[in-house]
Amino acid sequence: MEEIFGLDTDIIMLGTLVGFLVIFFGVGTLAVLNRIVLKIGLRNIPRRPAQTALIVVGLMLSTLIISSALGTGDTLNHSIRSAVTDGLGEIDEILTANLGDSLGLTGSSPYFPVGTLDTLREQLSGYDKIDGLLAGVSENAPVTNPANGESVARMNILGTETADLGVFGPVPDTGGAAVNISALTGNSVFINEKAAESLEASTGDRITMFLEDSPVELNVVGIAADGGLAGEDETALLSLAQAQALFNQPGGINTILVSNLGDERSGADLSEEVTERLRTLLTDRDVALRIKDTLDVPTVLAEIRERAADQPEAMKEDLLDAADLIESGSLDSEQESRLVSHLADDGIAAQLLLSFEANTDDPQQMFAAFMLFNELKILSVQDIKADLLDLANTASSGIMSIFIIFGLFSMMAGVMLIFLIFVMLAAERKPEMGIARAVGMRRRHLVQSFVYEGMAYDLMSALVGALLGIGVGMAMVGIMANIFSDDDDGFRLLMNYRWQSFVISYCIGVILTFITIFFSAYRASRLNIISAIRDLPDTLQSRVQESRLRIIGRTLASPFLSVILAFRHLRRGRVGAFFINLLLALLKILPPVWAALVLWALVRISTGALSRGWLTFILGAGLAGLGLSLKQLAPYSIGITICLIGIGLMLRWLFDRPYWEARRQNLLTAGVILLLSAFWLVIGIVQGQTLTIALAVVVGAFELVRQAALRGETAVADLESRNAFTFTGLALLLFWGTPFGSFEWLTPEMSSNIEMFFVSGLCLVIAPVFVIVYNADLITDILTAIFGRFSRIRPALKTAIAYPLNSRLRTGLTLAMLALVIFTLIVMSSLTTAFSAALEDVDAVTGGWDIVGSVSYNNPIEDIESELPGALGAEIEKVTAVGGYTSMPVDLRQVGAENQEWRSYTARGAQDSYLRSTGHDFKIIADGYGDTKEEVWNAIRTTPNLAVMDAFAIPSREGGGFAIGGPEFRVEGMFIEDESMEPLQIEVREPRSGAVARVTVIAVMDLLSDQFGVVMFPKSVLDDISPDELPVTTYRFKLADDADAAAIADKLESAFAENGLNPTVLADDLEEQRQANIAINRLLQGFMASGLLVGIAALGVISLRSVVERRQQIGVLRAIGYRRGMVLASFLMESSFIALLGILIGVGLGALLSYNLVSDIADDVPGLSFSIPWLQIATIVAIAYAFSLLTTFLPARQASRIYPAEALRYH
Amino acid sequence: MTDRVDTPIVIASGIHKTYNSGKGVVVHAIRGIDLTVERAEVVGVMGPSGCGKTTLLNCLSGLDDIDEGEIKIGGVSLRGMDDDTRTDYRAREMGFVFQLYNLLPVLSAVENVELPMLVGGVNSREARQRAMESLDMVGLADWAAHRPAELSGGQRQRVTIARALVNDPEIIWADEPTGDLDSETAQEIMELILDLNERNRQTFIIVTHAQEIGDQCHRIVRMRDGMIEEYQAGSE
Repeated sequence: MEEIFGLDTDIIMLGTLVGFLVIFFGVGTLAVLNRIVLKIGLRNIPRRPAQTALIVVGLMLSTLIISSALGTGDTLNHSIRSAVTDGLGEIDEILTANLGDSLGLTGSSPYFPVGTLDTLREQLSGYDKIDGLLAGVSENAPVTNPANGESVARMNILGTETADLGVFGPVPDTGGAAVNISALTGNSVFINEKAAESLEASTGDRITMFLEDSPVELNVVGIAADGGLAGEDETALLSLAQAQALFNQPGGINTILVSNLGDERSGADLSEEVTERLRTLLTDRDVALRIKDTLDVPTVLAEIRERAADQPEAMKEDLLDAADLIESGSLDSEQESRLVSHLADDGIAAQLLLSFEANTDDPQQMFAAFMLFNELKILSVQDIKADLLDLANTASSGIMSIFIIFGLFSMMAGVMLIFLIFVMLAAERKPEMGIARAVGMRRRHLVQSFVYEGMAYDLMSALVGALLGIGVGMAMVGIMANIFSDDDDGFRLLMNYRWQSFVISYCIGVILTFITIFFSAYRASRLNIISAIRDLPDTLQSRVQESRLRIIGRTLASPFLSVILAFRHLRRGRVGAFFINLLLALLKILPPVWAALVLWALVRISTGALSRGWLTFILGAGLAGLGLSLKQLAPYSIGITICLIGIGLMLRWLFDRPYWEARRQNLLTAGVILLLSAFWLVIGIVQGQTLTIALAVVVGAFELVRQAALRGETAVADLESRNAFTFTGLALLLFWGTPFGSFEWLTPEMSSNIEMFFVSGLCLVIAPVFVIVYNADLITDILTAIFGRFSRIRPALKTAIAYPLNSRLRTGLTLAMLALVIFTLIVMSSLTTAFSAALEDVDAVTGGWDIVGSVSYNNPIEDIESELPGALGAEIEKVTAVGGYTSMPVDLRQVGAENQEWRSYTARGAQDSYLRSTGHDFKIIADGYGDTKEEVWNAIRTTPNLAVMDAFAIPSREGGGFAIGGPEFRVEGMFIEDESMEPLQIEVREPRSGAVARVTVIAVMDLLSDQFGVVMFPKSVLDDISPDELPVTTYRFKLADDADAAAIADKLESAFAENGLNPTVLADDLEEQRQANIAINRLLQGFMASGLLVGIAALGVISLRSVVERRQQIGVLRAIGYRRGMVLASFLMESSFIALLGILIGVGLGALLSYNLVSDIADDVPGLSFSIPWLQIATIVAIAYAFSLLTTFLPARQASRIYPAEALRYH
Repeated sequence: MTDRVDTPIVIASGIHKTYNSGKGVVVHAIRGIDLTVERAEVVGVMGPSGCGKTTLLNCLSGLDDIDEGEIKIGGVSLRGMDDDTRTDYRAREMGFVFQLYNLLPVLSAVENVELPMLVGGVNSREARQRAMESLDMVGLADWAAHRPAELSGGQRQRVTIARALVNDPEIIWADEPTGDLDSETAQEIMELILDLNERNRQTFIIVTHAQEIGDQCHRIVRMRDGMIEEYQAGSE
């Protein structure tokens, strides 16, 4: 891929590489300076190989996800690029006389004299960026093989110059020998492999081509290999003379193919330059001067300059230059060329036309100006290869972005795992760290020793992750290839992984892990020496001992201090230390490193204020305020979340005062929580939202139960934190669990995008984790009450629950990791189920039609209704309706909208028979046009110039999501979420003639409708603005319920073969699409499930650690009567407890968010309803649970086999 | 508690124990010890560090296997039992007190004390009641809800004793029960043990290196190099 999230890959690579090198050399330099600390750090790695392996697995995950996503993007990009270059061969640009019909939906391009090519060759003499020009006739027509009845509805026909093909040739046959197109005479023809396959024809066969009703017999004299001139779609190759004769165009051509200097890949690099040169040459200078005269009006020029001010810089300069040139009296040849070049640019031309239009009321004058611009171009230049290559970049980068965003959850879980691992490593080494501090090691040395150890794991695991990522990426592409394996389109996925992707993923992996390790190391270093030596519970030193001013001062002067230190070393004759300190100084003076150091100093001096809550609250409020002013939901919601955490921290600080004894604390906490629940309850009742009411009741009831339980306790440990964070957790649950839109009355309209999925997931998961880890004894009581009656498991259960609930941090992190991953999987599967269920309503999608088929533009069906009985025989009774329409690319703009530029769109002019029988439903109907679909369709038929529009042209309040390509026209002043609309006035311009029709859009079609990307009205509207008579290009058929759609489709295909009718059964198409959707979602789910590895690895790490930590306690348990089985069961139950609790939170919250999402979308998409995919959830739960048990089984068994006497000896 | 009869509660004859201390070094920790302990006797096992006191206690209580010899507790041979049977027997008939208290830090004092009863299948309510009685017996009823980290060394050792007593075992093994305590607290604990022995007629076998503790036992078994060097009369 050349771009990731819109940034050049090389720039990203450079940035990440610099980050990596700074970390690597920074840490390396420190290590060399103090080798003893390095030794202390590194000696831990070989101590426990199993633990090291688990750590490497845990750390590599983020890198793996990035690497595989980039690999997927690379492969897609490479495959699309290869398909483009293989398909086009040497062709880089195509010159045609046709304007505005790049889609080729309406017939063939207009013809022009073959002499145009000679003129162009003369003009290009001496220009070395083009190495080939080829004249051709390019058409398409239906073709059949009479011997077997096989047919191709739209066979490409290419007639080329018979002389030297130059760089375009030779065209090889399937055996590799050149086919001699110049030898073709009479009715001989070469067809390509694809055509031979579709028609089941071979050399010597006769095929029939249907041209305007007159069939032409052709002899296949050879099969050309696909690609290049022979194309990738079904193509017939003729000599130019043959084609001219066949299409009755003596001396005429309609295409000139251009090849840029270089081969089929490198040629595209010159596209921009060659296109500009060709556009200048192929512009009529006389017409350009006439346009100059037309626009040379002071008011128009003023308008152009005004418009220029709003344009991007390059466009602005060009527009201002164009205005100056138009204003100049006479132009020298250089100025004239410049003007021509500006006028030939479509973007500038559009602005000039708009400026002219703003200053004229006369439609005829406007039409004349439009026609002048139309005549300006002698030939239109389409830089087809560069366009398609751009599309390759957009598509692959879009797919990669989806994988990265969906992988964010697993990456987040990965970061938590890294943190957890280092918290546990710190716990394990607490006594030895305490002793190290006691004998004179500084706090920074502890940080360093952790960072060295972490860096060693980091460098290893990022390498493993990046390499495995290549494999995972390949596997995903392989699965995608299977999903989309469609032999007809000839698209092949070619595995590719760029070295840049490897460097990027490796460097990001190292950087991400380093940052996490650094924070964990910093936390671990804040130990209390005595507690550490005696291995007592953590008492972190939160207060910074050093003065704040001193910290900031030292950081600001840090580079200079290193220089001073360097010279001190030099004075003492330590040359090595001198150079290292000098290097360090140089490193610190780099702006990003220096900024990072200052930022870190700021964090250090503000930890007190942050942990007391007020600074946290202010930061949160600031972010929420920013979100409000930008009308962005993500910063607003994150801000509120931080505020709630800030309030929790303030409460904790407050409760720490002597005045706030237990009873007062409990009273205040309960009061606040119950008030909050009551407020939510009122909102739920007012808005009629059952879920909000339920949520408020659950939260309120929980608090009451909690308070009742607290009253029974004699002494509760850490009651301040417990009350404070219970408040935070419950408030977050209310805030994030409430259906969308509940607070719209409080805030302005906010926009959001896919990132909210990640943010809401994370915050939703944090909420119950807070509540659970701080109210653990409630769960213990409940579980003991339930399982306590089974005497054998009761003691094992007691210890199994007590241990994890006693270590809040590690249990909280593990719960969050598991819950986060399960949550995403549940949301994905609930949404997949909801959407695929919606697609099951075939009639809502197809409008009740059963078969669709397009026909050849060149050879339309005259009157289908009268021909059908003959075509179908007795089966005609099964056809209940038939209707047709013509699709055509047009330009649209909305009357009265702010944006008055013409934007391309597709118009469908429908026959009355279609409008009468179609059953497509509507999302919004304009006031005054009835309430039912029948009323709307009837109005379209009976009232002139009414139209309906699809939902894609209507913007959404919730942003666009991932839109790759798609139609350009967008309506202003309404949203798809609206309940009603005013009728919209839309102008429709036929791009060839410039004729404009005005239609009134009275309804917006359902989102599910298969009529998307179109504005639809009666065919008469299109006929009025079209220069030619428009045939019907697509027919739809409605069948009786008992009809065999496939059989009727076959009959239709053979009966209308000469018209190129290619019928498809809509229900089958839809089912294929549905299956592909499901498969892609499954793939994404699989990708996201990689995060489960994290949760499972976390449980493994915890279990391994627990066995070591509790060795002596296991001895005691065995001494007092725990059997081996009970020790094993206790460990398994402990990990089951965490795993099941995490899974439960994930499932619950996943269902909650899915319900909210589906309810929100269901307002816009009919047929969408929330249902829980029990089977899938059960599968996910079973897999997650089974694997977590598997990981903990080995350590648990190890624990159970410990001999009591041996365990008791262990210290 | 099982029926008290007048046969010795511990009969050990010819027991040997070796273990591998790593790198191929075999340590012969117990070298043919014969020992008999009468019911309701308080026996102190003393000797220099590394003489095998703790290993002897572990072997006699069934926490460790022996290589040779025979051990009978209350007339029942431990050698013939599989691990589960021996564990159940231990839970029923024995109590343990260790130098480092060895309470589970994640459970409160009363939960620590009731754990052996839960293992023995006693229902929760009864277990809690008896645990409270046991704590009361050692003078810690008011500290029942506290976790070990919130208790002093002496209090923790009292909790350990309460746990050892809660199943009303015939014999209690104590490995350096006062080793981590100051002399005053150590004396308090010893008085508690002697008081319990007096009241409940329970047997105590106490490994200790402190002469003043040993002197308060009914009998002292002095060990050296894995063998019994001599028997000394104690306070009785």
